[in-house]
Amino acid sequence: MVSLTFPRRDEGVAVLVRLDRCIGCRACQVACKEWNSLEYRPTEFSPTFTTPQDLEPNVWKVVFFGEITREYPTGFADPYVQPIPFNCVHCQTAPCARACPVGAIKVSDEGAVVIEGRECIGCGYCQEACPYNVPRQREDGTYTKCTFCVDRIQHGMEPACVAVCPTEVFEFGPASQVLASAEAERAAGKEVYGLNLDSYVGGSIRWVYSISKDKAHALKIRLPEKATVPFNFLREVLNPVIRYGAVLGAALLAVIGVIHEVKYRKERVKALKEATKEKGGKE
Amino acid sequence: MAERERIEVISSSYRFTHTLNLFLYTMLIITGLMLFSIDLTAWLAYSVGSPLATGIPTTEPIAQGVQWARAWHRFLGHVWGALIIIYPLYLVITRRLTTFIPLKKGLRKQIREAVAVSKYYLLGKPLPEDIANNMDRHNILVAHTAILLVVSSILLSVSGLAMVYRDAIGLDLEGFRLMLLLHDVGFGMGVLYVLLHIFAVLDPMNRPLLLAMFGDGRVSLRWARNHMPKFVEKFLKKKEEEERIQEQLHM
Ligand code: HEM
Ligand code: SF4
Ligand code: SF4
Ligand code: SF4
Repeated sequence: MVSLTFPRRDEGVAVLVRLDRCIGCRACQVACKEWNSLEYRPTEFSPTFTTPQDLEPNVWKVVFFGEITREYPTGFADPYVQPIPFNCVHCQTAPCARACPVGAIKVSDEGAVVIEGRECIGCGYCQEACPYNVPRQREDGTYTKCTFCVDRIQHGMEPACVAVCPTEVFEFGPASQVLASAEAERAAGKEVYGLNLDSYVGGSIRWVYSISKDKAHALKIRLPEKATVPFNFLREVLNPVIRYGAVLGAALLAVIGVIHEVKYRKERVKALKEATKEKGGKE
Repeated sequence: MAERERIEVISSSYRFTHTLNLFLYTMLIITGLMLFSIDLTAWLAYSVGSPLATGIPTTEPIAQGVQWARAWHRFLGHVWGALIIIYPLYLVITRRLTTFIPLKKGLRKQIREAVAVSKYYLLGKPLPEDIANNMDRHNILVAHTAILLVVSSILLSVSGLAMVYRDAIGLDLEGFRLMLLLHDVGFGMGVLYVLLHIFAVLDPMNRPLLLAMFGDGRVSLRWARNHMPKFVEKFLKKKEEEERIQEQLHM
């Protein structure tokens, strides 16, 4: 496990995803591929609009389509399809970066969580630790995912997917400003996902979602209520227990061992002296 | 038999297996630690990885060093796995497995002996006479810690193999998470066992056994009578029996 310093929640950048504005055109999904030179492949026909069905090594952003029933106060209900553009949400204290055994996952000053492909050994610990099941394995064995377009944002540009959106779903900017916008959405009665999450992800994520309350259950399609991975949480608890436990245990046993050894030697010398005395007395 | 005579307490097959196990286990711990705590082992990964990474622009020394360790971990894991299956099988088939004999005693007796032996090891208090006189080849703590080792080895080998053959056996993400956790639990238990084991074998009382393990497998009869009287009793009986049979054959 690697120790990392993460920028504070109100430092760096963030994105507010206003789902109510999304028309599901998938321009963001295409722009991501385009900017990052990710190879295209024909997808299979399926009963949903979502295509491909989930993230892939060459698909870092997918627009999921949640088929939900929207209920009105009058008792009337109608089916509704809610698009949810989804990519790595860039967790505040990214568990994937904490889990990477070689420190191949870097966290930039902007808060972008980026896998450095050259350093990746393909162990899959990042995917194991990610509560959103984001990192994917390429054919060459290394893992990959959305980079928050770190190459663009470090040069004053917006992420590619943000820039192309025709309905301005994404508000990209300094984290403090985006957090304030998200709070404003909440104050306006919207459901906001990403501000009060488990401590496992650092309590918040940098891609925050807002949606009208009556459509909020669509979020569940790809965003878990509990942003945590219990098995990996236990591993993180166990790791220092084993490390420090082993060092403390070894030190304690070494002290006892040395005391034993000294006592044993003294007793032997005493016994030998007595034996020679007895021998001398007899002669 | 004269008191100065030496008797075999550790067979040559046991000594060979122990040494091989010692080597494999140490290597598995070192290579495993490179994944478990890179902050402590990055220097080692770097020193091994820098020649491997030279001239390859798509990689980096620490990653190469860890990758090298990881490949060895997987290879040695298979060798170690084979060893921990073959040797215990041999012991069971040839009825030589004596480690767990102390577990045949009643639970109350086991606890009393465990407390007495712990008091000896931790506080240097001599064993009560009845327990000392009834000591077999292994004391009860050896049997108890051996259980720790067996459980740890099963966890390590089963979860290790499941992770290596993850795709072949169709292990899903949640399954992989569980296996990695179990591997860590097995590792923790293994580390605890190693600490207790090293502490016990370095105790002055056990010095002749330590020398026997890395020497000819023998200890003096006098020492054995003091530390494992029950075992000596059985050993001498068996020897007498063998001698009687030999005599009868030559009559
Ligand atoms: C004495 C026995 C063993 C010890 C002490 C040991 C130790 C470790 C440790 C400390 C880790 C790192 C875990 C982490 O990062 O949290 C690890 C990973 C791993 N071990 Fe073991 N291990 C042992 C046996 C085995 C065996 C028998 C196998 C199977 C052949 C195996 C396969 C693996 C695999 C697959 C990983 C995950 C990393 C990877 O994908 O290469 N281990 N081991
Ligand atoms: S969503 Fe997953 S991959 Fe992205 S930062 Fe969080 S843990 Fe890492
Ligand atoms: S797969 Fe690569 S990026 Fe992911 S944890 Fe392993 S080394 Fe790090
Ligand atoms: S931020 Fe960049 S890499 Fe991430 S989904 Fe958007 S376009 Fe793709």
